Amino acid sequence: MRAMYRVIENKPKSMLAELEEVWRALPVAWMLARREWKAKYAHTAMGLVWAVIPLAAYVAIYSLFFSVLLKVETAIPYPLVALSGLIGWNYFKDIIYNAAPSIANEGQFLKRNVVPRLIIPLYKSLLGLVELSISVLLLFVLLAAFGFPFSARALLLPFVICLNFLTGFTVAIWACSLSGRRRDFFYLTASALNVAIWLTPVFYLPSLIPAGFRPFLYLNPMATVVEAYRWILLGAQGPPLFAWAGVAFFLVLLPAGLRLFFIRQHKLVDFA
Amino acid sequence: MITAEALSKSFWRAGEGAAGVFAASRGDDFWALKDVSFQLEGGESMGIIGPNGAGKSTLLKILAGIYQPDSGRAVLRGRVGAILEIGSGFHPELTGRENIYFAGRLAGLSRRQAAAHLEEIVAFSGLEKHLETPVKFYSSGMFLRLAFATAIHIDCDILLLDEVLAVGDAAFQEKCFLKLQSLKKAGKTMLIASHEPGKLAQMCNRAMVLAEGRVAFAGGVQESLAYYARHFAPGVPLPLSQSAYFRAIRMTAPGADAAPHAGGAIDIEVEVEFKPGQSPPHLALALMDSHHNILFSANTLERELPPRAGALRLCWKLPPDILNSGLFWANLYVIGNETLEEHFPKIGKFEIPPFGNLARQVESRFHALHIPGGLHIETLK
Repeated sequence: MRAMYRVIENKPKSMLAELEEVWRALPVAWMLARREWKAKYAHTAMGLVWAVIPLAAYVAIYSLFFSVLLKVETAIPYPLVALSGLIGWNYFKDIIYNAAPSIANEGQFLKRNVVPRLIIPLYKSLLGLVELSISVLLLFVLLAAFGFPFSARALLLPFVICLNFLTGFTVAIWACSLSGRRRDFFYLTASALNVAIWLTPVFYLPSLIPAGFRPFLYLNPMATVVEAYRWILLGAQGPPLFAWAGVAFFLVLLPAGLRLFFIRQHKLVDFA
Repeated sequence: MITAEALSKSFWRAGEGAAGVFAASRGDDFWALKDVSFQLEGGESMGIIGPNGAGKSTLLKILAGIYQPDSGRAVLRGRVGAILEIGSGFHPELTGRENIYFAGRLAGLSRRQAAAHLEEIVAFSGLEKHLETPVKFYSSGMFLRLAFATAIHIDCDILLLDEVLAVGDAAFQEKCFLKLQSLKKAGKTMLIASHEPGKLAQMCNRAMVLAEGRVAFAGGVQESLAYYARHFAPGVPLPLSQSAYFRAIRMTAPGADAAPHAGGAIDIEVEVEFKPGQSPPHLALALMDSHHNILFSANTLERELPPRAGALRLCWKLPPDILNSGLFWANLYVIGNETLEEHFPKIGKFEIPPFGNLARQVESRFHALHIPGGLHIETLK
């Protein structure tokens, strides 16, 4: 065995050293996520069906209001609009709800077990992937039901999911790092999500917005992510080029958020 | 090998009435650990003792890499394994097998290594039949056995143990103790925090007394335990009495250093006052060692007590040279109707200083009583 040598002191480690530790502990993140899935679904009679039911209910109720009562005209059948919008948005929301308060919630675990801190928000961000996969499967079922052609662009799905993950994780890591003794920041973020869903084309298509205002919609990186799902899964028109640039610009906040997290991580656990 | 230099760690303590976003800074910092330094060579074992809140767990958590110190530095050479709070990494919904596997992966084992350990861990815990049961259905004893077995079978060079010397029933404790001793023999460096002085004395050569985050004493395990007993296990306030009042105690124990084998008799004299107008109750005296084991007792039950006596003096003469070095306490009991009615713990103490000869020093590490005679040795062909 290689002789190991560890120095413990109050000196911030380089970003690279921190990330290397996280990288080595990635299997642990995967184990933690699997453990939580197992614990969540193993004790239900219907298992994964519980992931489908709320989703189907959402799509049905929004179809009723938007399509039947409000008579919003869409080029694509409305249930497909709603479901394709919910895929990205739900995962985004899930990441924030799970990862932003994760250090505070898992404080007892972190105070007794040796794990790089970032592993906790990281694995919490993976939890939503089960619902995401089920939503995608459900969408494929609906596509077939509506006689929609499958688009070869669907092969880009992993990339879009990645982008979805990065967008959510960026927001979550900032909210997580800025929380401390008080949890206000988490509640602020959670409330902001209720507003943000209407600033994101989840239940409508960007075509609903007057053309002059449409570029402003893409200031919201989630608008681009949601539209990207529709682009690859429904064959809709993709987000404009400047929207992609906007997402790239937004993601600069990720390394900055990670840096802040690494600086604050020890204090965060002390307060948890 | 572990080297710690002036490790310090402070925690924030919430103040009263702290509320609102902007009042978040109410409260203050206190030092859980302040300027703790020590050095532990490879293969050595050191005990840490101290009252609750002394900083024992904080120190171990810093060395394990869970807390970051505010200042100071520690260098650890070798793989570090920590058993800080057993079972804390277990998930109640998962089965015993899944939890063992998970704990192994958490400790940095590969998938194959974790699987290889499984059999050994299961055999040690003796829970073969319950391996597929979620651990939330385990009894607390079963849970602790599985958790300890899992933690102890993970490879490391340095082992940090926090309050784990007393796990499960007597048989399992014995097993754990033997396992720890075999790890020690295998050359592992150990740092053990415990409230079990007796076991600490058998596991470690050295010990450190922590109090309010500082090192109060460091040295040989026997000296440290004596220091701890002297300073941090003081007499409890005596209860308000119904029938008898303890008045005074005088104890004479001749210094063992002067003539170890001809140590003089130990005299204990206790004066007890009774409630007026009643016949005095029967009394018992007991001698207790620094590990809180009662060694001997004597009582007045077969004796005639003078009726209407207002106060009595009890004299207890112990034969010479029956105690090893250490700290001793006397307890007083009031007996009514053959049951213990009142208990006056630790009414007096005396100390027998360390012996000059090695045989008695070793004996003192294991037990408080000395039986004269010793071993007779014969050569066999």
